[in-house]
Amino acid sequence: MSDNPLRRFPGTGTAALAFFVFLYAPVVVLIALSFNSGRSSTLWEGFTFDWYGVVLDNPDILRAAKNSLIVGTISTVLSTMLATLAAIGLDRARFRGMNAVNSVIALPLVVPEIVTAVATLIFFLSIGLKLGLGTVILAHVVFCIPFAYLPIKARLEGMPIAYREAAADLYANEWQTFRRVTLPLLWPGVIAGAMLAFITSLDDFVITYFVAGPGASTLPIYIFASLRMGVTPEVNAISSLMLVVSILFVSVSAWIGRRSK
Amino acid sequence: MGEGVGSCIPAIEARSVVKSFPGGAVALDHVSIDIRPNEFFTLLGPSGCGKTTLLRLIAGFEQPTAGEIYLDGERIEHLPPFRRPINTVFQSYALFPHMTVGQNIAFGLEMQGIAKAEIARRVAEMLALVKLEGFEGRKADQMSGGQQQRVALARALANKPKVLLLDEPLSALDLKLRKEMQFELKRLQTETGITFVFVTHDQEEALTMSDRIAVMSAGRVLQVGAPRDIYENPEHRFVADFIGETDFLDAMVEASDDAGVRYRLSSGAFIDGPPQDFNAGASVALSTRPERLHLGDAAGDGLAGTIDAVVYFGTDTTFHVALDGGAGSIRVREQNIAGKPFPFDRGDRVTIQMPRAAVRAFRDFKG
Ligand SMILES: Nc1ncnc2c1ncn2[C@@H]1O[C@H](COP(=O)(O)OP(=O)(O)O)[C@@H](O)[C@H]1O
Ligand SMILES: [Mg+2]
Repeated sequence: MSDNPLRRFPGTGTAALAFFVFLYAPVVVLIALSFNSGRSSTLWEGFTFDWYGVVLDNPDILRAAKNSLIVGTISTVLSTMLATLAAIGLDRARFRGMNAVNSVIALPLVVPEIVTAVATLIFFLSIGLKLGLGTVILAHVVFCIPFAYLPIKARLEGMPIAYREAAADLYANEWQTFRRVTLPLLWPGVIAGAMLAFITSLDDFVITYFVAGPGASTLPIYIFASLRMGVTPEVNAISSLMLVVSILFVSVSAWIGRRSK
Repeated sequence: MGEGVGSCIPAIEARSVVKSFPGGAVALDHVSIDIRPNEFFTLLGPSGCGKTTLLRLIAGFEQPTAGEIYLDGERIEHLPPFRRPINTVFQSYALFPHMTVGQNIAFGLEMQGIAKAEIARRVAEMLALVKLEGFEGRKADQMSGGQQQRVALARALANKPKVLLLDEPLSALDLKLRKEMQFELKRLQTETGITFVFVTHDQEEALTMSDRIAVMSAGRVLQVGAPRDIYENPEHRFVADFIGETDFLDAMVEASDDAGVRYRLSSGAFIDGPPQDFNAGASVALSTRPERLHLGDAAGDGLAGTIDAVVYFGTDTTFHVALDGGAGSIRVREQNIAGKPFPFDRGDRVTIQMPRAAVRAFRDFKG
């Protein structure tokens, strides 16, 4: 630790401090303001839970939250299943173009989201899909796959082939081997992948904004729309709630990953 | 090991088996072996000679590139591993980490659809067989290497396979435990009567445990035989070199007939050996084993040389002797007798007595 040569450069500590302040100070302020009893975003007027109550009483917010949950759950389940199948299908496969296939699966991670958003919208319109919750789910399943795929693939690659051979040696056919050995050993990767997929879906704004029809607003869309009326403590409260959910999911996924090492 | 045993149907037969891997590596080059029912059969050879590959072909994890494999006279190459009544003890043990010891042992039985009560009975029987009663509820990673080894054995034996394959199962254990497990394995094989195919690169392990040994080198089986056979009558220079201690001397065949062969060393000295199929003038590698030779004083009969080094081993002492005329260097081993030091030391002039039967020659090429 202490023999890191970077430590000896003057200003390293200051730079690191500045980095953390810029990154986290706004988040801390946002959370603090969600408990501010006044409507001002600059003046502290006292502590209150009222804004959380307001949030939970607002039917528009509840509808958006429900949409987010529906989209998140369905796209997580579907993308995780597809990612698991892809990882197992590509495991130890040695064919020409295998690298290409792997790259294509991970491609959505590097393609600018706005490009995907426009392309997806044009595609949906051109095949005559009516924009709504269905199109949002479809789009989310697709862009969540790489997030689910990477941890599952990593887990599978770290699993010695001997376990599967031992199962086959002990009279388990392919399906029994998958059910009784491969899947249980892969499970932490699957859970981690699903968590990542869920928070990615929960958080997505750009693609959702393009392909959501009327009535299909998710929480990020609602927040963006309500900002036109200025930053309200209400928005701070929803954002804080989303932050809590995200942190929860990431922690659980990290914990599962560590525990099964 | 009478004639009758050899004539029955082999438990495992490999016929001209070839295995090449993509990229060109030929791991097995026309391997043919017969493994008899109920025998402890060992594949012995240096690392990379194809032992694991042959085992994996028998287990069904790999397909032969050419050739046939038979189990009790039936071809099995086309069968997946789970259709072969053969079980494997993996080098890494490969115990399922998400299952207990009991669940590991029960796994194969469950997959075969055996009734619950019978499974419970067999698991208990196996735990007793490998002396792990009371460990049923433990996870694999809560056990020592030696215990995991026993669980792996129990898991494989629980299925009463026709053949048990063991890939260097003892190589991860320390010396004392390894000796113990060698004894255990031999006991299990005798008690269960199951055919064992055992892989090792350790010649001593092979000699002490096996009914028969196949010595492999570079994807080929060089010689198959009982330990004594392999040790005393190696058919290849490689086999002589790999098993036991052997010294080689370059020599020419001076004369050869039904009575024996006379060899001439590069120094001009002669050595007589038993009859072998050589023509006069052939260039050969002469082999001797240290424990078959004896030292005499300089006036004695035999090859003359000078002692280069003396290595004390407790039960015996090995003398390294440089032969006169630069003919080479060979080792001679003498038993130590309590309280009586050997009368030779470094730098002493000696002669080596070489009984005819201790001399064996190979055509002079490697392998
Ligand atoms: N999957 C594989 N792909 C390519 N070459 C392999 C593979 N498995 C084994 N080999 C090669 O085949 C030869 C024999 O290997 P192996 O059977 O593992 O030897 P051993 O068990 O006697 O040490 C080696 O040269 C090894 O590199
Ligand atoms: Mg090997």
